[in-house]
Amino acid sequence: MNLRPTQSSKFALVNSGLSLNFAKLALSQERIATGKRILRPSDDVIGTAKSLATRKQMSRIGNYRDAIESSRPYLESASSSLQDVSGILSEARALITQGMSGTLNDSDRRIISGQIEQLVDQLVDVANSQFGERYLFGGTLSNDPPFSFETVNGTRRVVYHGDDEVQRVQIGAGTEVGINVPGSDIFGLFEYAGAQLSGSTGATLGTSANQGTGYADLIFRHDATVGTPGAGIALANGGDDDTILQDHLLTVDATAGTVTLGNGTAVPIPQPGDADYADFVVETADGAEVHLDFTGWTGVDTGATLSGAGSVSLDGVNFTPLAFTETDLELVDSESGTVVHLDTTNVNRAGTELLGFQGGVNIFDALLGAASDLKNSSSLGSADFLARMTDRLGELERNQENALSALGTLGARTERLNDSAERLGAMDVSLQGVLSQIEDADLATVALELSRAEQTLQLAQMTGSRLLQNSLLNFLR
Amino acid sequence: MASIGLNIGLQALLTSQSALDIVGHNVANANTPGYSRQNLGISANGALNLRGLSIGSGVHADIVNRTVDNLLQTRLVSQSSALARLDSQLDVMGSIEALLGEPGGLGLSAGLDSFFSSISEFSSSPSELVLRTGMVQSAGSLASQFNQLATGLSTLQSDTANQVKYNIGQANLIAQDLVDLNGQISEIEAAGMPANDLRDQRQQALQQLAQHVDIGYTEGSNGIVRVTVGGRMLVGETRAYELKSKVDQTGGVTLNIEGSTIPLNVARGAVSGLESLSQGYIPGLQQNLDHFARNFILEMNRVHSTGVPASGGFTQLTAEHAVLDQDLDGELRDELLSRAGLPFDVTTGSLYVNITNDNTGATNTQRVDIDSSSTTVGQFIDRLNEIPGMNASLNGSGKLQLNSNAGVKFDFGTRLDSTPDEYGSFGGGAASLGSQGAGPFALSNGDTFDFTGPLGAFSVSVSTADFAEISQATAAELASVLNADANFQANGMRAVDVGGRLVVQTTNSGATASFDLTGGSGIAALGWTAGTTVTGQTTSVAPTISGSYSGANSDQYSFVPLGDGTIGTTPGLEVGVYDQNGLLVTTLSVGEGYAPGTELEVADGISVSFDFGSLSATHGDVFAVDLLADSDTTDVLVAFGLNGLFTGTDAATMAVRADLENDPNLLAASGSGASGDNQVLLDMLRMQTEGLEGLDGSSFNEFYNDFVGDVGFKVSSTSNAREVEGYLMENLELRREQVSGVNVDEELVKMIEFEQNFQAASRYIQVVNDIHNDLLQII
Repeated sequence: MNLRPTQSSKFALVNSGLSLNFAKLALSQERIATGKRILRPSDDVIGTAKSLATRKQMSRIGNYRDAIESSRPYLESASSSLQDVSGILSEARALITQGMSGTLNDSDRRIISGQIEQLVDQLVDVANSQFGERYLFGGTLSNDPPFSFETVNGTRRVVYHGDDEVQRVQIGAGTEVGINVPGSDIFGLFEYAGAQLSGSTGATLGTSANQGTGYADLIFRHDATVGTPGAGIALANGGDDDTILQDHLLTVDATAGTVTLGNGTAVPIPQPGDADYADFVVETADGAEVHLDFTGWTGVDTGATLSGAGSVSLDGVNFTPLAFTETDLELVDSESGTVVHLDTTNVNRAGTELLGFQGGVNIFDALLGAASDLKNSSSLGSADFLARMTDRLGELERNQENALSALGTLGARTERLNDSAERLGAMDVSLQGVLSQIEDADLATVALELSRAEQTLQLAQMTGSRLLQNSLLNFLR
Repeated sequence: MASIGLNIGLQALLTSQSALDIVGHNVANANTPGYSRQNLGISANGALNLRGLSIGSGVHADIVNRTVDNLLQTRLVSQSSALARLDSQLDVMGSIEALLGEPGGLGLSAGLDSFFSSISEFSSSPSELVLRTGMVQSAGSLASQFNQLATGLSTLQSDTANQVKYNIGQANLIAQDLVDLNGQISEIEAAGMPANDLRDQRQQALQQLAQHVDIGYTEGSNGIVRVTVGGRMLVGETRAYELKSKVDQTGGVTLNIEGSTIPLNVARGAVSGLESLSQGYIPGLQQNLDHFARNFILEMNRVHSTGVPASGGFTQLTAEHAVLDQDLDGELRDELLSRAGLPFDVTTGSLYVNITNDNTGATNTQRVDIDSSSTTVGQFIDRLNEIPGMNASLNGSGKLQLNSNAGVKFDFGTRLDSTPDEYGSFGGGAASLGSQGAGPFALSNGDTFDFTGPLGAFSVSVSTADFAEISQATAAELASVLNADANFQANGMRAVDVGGRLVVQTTNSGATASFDLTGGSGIAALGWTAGTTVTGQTTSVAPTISGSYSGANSDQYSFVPLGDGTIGTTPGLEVGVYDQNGLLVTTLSVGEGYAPGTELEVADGISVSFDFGSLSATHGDVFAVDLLADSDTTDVLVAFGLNGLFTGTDAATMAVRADLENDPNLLAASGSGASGDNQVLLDMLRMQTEGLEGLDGSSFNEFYNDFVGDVGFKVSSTSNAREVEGYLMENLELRREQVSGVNVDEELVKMIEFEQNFQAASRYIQVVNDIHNDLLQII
């Protein structure tokens, strides 16, 4: 209680009242001008902590959204490339099916083969698609083209240079999502199902396991024919043109006028003067041939066993002589890493077996193989040709499924990014609301505070001016 | 009678005049700060015995009094001390708050945000050079924000110290004034005169002094005030003692008083407020900021040091931090690695070093074990030098220097060695014989190993000196004994440690490679039997590892066949996978039905595939693969400052590594070296929210929020205290005004009162005079 008011205390009171109200007014004005309730940490310590945490969270959400936005076109571009792949593969399958038709002649097939090779070129282009400077299908090795043509063992192949890694981006605390599918999963995802031989040499796989990818030609070569036909009949060209391997019985029936080789059908003996009299081909049911020279034939029956010696090669360079007793002959091609084990006991003719690793053939090998088969269809028997083409078509279908499933993976990842983007967007909005609640001044309240402060100040000024005028001096005359 | 009457009138006149003078003095000083209202002590004169009556003889003025409440004055003095302390602190803290610039877009918080944003952006396109450069630049600007904050805080600290000095100077001036005032007051009062106005001035000076330093004062009987500060005399009877301040190296301030070296403790006043800031609070903030910066550098460098730059592995790296000669013997190599003066701790664990061949791309991963209690700098360097292709040394300034041989590069990435069977000891082409289990092996002195190689039979014997403990011989120790044997070398044989197992093999491979183990006393310890012949083969199983390891801790898996047979062929052939503790992880079926080349899942994200070939459990086939969760659990890379992102150890010294700033390609964003790999970036992003041991389980954000919140809390609590103390001060001042202040109206009333008194006295003199005249006329 101010019992004895003095001049100074009266002035001090007015003064402190005025400055207090001025301060209030200034604070309200600052809040209105900035729209913020917290301008420095001491304005509201807990609010500042909350605001910092919220801002941090918003910044992280911003980062996640940016990451999503910059990854999305990458995924979308990969998806659209894969759709192209799917289209190319469908076209290739149609061409192969067309090429398998028996009504086509060799030149038709060569045209189709050329078309397929073009499709392979297209496919490699797609597989090397870029987004910006980045290759889409190289795994994390995204600076260099992941696929290129190379010649392995004289065969044109497409080789992958990328890795199997999935590139990831962070789209949430502890949540990372892949934004690519490595090319190895799209164009050559292997599900090994074992090796398979297509051909008619009679060779089968041995007991041990085999290793390799794609296709390889297994060449059974005829080296020499051992044995004499008898009755003055000679081996034409010393037997060099024969294709028989192992023993085959040659029967010449003068009475019936026929000649038979092994399980082959009997054919009429040529007459002198025939064009093939000196080089007559007899073959077994499997197509193993013997070339006979009837020039010196004495005209009597004869029956003799002719034996074909031969060798086998996996790489076309190194040949291994065959004893035809091997049940598990190991052939290694160190250049391609292929290992195959053969049972040669039933080999009965020379020829080429297509060694295919089922589930181990990439798209390019399947297509290039089909193209080469179509080109060389004349040198393959029609049964061999069909078997090879069917095999290639099967691999192609499997690969197409892989490409589709990769497309599905990309789709799912895009979906996930979209979902996250949406969720993060919603979170951002709600956090902005939270931040605004923490930091922002409620304009209505502040305006009310401002006008109250203004009023109080005016009142203080009025009372001050009135009070300070009052003095006894006013009444002293 | 008349003279008595006139005298009474005169005294009344004079008294009224004095009273009016004092009213005038009061009115004149109505607004003088510290002025105490004065009034005149008046008393009636003693009575005279006149005409048998005791009649009063009028009035006289005794003394000029000063209306003052001494207790109130004392409280005012101490209150102004308290208030000044808070005022001075608020001032500096406001500056700290402004320096932080939070909340808003200018503080360190925003800097951290933009740093992590740039990482996030870069991580989504890790091959973009622009984003790479952007990340380096935002790391640079974050570092300079740390620097600015550190500089700002130390400037504030030195400013605060300077303010202390200024306050001390002011206090010394006032103390001098007090001495002068003391002298004048005692002089005047010795003459019996009250020195009212001087006392007011002195009181005012005391209050001002209290604003600078917390004082105590007592007044002696001679009117002299003695002032003490922290229990020491500041103003004595005749002189003032000078206050002195000293600013030390850390910017802290100490006070002492003339004639004493004991530091003075001042509890209140501006000096104490500033002192507590410059000595306690600001250093505390600096310490927290440095702690934050240090941990930030540590964590970022931990992640970055094990990354691989866009430009591939390293051919040369030089440490940022030098080894110091702690024991001052002029030799650096004998220092314990964990106590070699390196700025970050080195702990027990393993460092993995990858050596990659430039041409083949083949990677060889080597483990370097560090025991913080025993590994010396020299041992560490020697171990690094054991790694083929690696050269380590200390340069002239004690910094570790790493160089690789021509044709190889090194890095510390966590990538998997995709072809881990580097010796071909797992169904490889070489003739190879492995021990039947992992070491240690119980050998004894003189144990022999008898072989027959291409050049004939020979025997290798071992001795105690070759091993740390021969009964606990490790595969590596035994391998080096065998490899050192001349016959062993001449026969084209070598011994290697594969996952703790000893493997003896021929250096050439193929079906012609062969040797016999004919016997020896040591072979039983390795599970070998005499008369074993091993032969090489043409096909090689060449296991391939793929995937990425997701386990929490680094491990080493050993793969051993559980029987003899051929991959993909032998029914029931299995490969057992064991972790580094020898526990079975899984078994893989690789016999009949397994297509060679097929990937088999092992565990924790890794897969293995085998080529065609034969395996032999009898001959101890084995290969081991290092699985790295963290390729440096020792922090030795961070401690030396090798392949870091930041250099420096605290907020003031933090900077982006200079060569990296010049060449952003050195930014090690990838864990494997692949251009699109962003492993390191993702790890850095994870650090953003992770609770960190160094920060007592808080994340970077939480720690920084605490830091800011602490400043805010301190400011708001100080400002609240200031409000309360200010109110108290106002109250006390009001009370003082009530007691000692001048009310002009009151003085005017007094003036009228004494004016009337004066008029009455004049009238009385006139009456007395008239009476005299009347009497004289009668005469």
